[in-house]
Amino acid sequence: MTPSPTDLIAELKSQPFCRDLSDTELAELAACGTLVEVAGGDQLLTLGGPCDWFWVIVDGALDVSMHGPPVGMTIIGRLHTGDVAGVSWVAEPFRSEFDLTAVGPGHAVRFDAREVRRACAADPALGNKIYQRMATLLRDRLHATRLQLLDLYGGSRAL
Amino acid sequence: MSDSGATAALPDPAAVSLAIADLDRLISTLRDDGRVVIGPTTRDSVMTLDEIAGAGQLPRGWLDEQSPGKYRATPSETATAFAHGPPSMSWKRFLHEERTLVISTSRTNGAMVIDPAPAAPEKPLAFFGIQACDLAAIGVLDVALADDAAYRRRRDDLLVVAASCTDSVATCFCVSAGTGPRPGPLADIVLTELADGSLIADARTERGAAVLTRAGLDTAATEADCRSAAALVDAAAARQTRHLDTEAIARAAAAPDDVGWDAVAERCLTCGNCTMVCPTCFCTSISDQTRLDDGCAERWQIWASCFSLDFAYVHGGSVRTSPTSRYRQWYLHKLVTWHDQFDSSGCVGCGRCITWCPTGIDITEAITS
Amino acid sequence: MRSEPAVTTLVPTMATVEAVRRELDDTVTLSLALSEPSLTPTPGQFAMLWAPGVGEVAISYSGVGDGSRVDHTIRDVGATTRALTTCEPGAELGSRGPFGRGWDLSRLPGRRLLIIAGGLGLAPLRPVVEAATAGTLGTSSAQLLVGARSPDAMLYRDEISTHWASLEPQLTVDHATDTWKGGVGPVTIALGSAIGDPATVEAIVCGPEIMMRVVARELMDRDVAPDAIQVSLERNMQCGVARCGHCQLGPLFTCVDGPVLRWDEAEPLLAVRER
Repeated sequence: MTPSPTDLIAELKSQPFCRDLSDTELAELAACGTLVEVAGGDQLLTLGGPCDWFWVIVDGALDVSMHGPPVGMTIIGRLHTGDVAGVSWVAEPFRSEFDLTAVGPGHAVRFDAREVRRACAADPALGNKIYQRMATLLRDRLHATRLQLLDLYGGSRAL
Repeated sequence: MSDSGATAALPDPAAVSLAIADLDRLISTLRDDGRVVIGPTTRDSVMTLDEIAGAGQLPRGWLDEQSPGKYRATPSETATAFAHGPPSMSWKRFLHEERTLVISTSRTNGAMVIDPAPAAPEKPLAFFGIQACDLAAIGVLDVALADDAAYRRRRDDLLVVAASCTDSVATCFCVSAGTGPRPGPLADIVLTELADGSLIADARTERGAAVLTRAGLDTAATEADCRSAAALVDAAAARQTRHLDTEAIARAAAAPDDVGWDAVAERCLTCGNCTMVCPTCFCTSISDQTRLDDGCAERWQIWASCFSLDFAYVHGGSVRTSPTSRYRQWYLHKLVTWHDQFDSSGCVGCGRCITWCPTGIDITEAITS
Repeated sequence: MRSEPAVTTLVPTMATVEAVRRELDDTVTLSLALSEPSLTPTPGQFAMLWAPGVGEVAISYSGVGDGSRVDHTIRDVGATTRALTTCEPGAELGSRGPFGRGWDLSRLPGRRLLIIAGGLGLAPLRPVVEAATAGTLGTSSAQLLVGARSPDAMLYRDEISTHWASLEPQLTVDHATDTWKGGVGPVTIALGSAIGDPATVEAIVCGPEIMMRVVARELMDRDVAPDAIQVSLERNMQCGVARCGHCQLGPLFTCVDGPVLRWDEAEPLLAVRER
């Protein structure tokens, strides 16, 4: 599948991550991205490796996981259509602390994080929008993680 | 309550006059009716409640002093038996016992059978000398424990000889609570004691009138005595200095987290004394006990206190871990949510919680301070 | 005034354990035959189950039967639930009930029903799930969302994937391994796609209090009305008849005024810390 730039812009327009971007801003962002196909088991980011990319999921699912004894491989987040996968690109040292793995076949818009950071620096209005979106996303993910941290279901309700 | 309060009418014109010695005739008549007579009595220098066989066991010649965290009863030259503050324990324990058997089990041909607690034929009770606040508390419990069979059984058979208060201790606030010092409508007979120990008895029910008649007490009280009695009760009311701060209570009700509980929290030991002496606190826990001989079980209903950590335990921990939250629960239940639940206040103004609090926390000042 | 309980007795009815089904490592479902039939429970109500000589505990009905046969799903979390969960078929227990206010099913006809459960909170929802599956609730549509700690801690997993498949179950766990097909994260992550038209939604939610609060807030953020959200509260219930006092929540006796409350009723009460 080799989508044209217009296909990419059309796809991004439907993504919540790109809501309310102007046509110019969309084009600036699309210039940093490529529509890619993934297969189950594809490892997109590696624990401890660089986070030079991030993905906006078009269809399919990506797992955020951690491995090591005694728990082995543990999935702590599963991302679906519309979600942004890969967040460590927003701040130095741009290093992934988790594995990011495709659950099955799917598609995503893959962004070159360096290009996006450059575009954000060149167009502060775009940069403001992108980093605000990332802040919202990080907040939501922090809330979710804190809820998971409470281990609510393990210890409550005898019923 | 219609016939309580400091400005109520004089005793009924049909009131009769009693000499001190007549109290024995009254108590004997109640006992002859098969009743267990419960009244105030002095034990270990504390006025408490117990079964009494005669007027000699009343706390005649004793005066008490009560203030936050302090109780003293001392012998004095007084001729009176009823000019005292609320006895240390409330009357609820005779209607709503500390421990009540709920069920026991037995085995029949190997199968477990549940035996509801027997409605044992108990002697009916007479409360002798119960004060207005404590009488109002029975009215409160009548609503909260309406479905409690053991309570109802004792309550339905109860005969009440109440005593008007002719003195107030420093912790009293029945006037503010609207319950006294004149006993309210649940009394069968109301006694009002004069300074020399003689009394006026006022029958409020036919049952009460019949008791007075059987006791041969029919000397009409003089109008002068009635006026003296009324003046004593009015004076007792006038001596009260504590009052419930309705504005503070409303603030606490509206925003429980926003009023200052810190002063209370610093002092509350969560000992639960206030709930034990409170005449309306009715909470209980139910506990299983297994008999060692035959393995059969009993279930007991036992007084509980909302100040204990496990009172609001749900799996995983208590809903109310901080002392502040437990004090707040008690306070708001008593003064606010009781109205929602039972259409009345849960506080009758007896002041026991103030007297018996080891750190002297005062329910009338908990919020205002 | 407090609600008047329909059942006022502290005396249990004896019941025989007819079947024991192991659900999870620490959780079983007991099927009980009562020696005398009780009132037919409403989904969401609870019984006081008595392990003779040990104690009594409030357990919701996970199967309401006809009042003489009922199911209870119980997790081993203390002395009494340990005694209950280790019962063998034929064991004798005591049961009192049904107690409390159950789910308000009268609100459901014509609505999109979201059944949202966390952990063992699925147990009191099971009768509703079964009615929804059978199509007897009159809803326009229904979906089941379940959160659990991990895949092997998900209650009724076989039923979810078979009998309840028509409810398009959305399952989420806090953490998983790669054989897991559902979501990973809090149960709220599945809400967005489940709501549809928020004006038509009626949500019934049961789980830990924090989970219910988060779910209710998320639903309201997505324009579901607070009175269209029902939650079931857990408090210390000992008598079931609004007499022992332990289960109070502000003006409520949770045992008779609850355990099911609408969120507009529950939210202001739960907003006060340690109430």
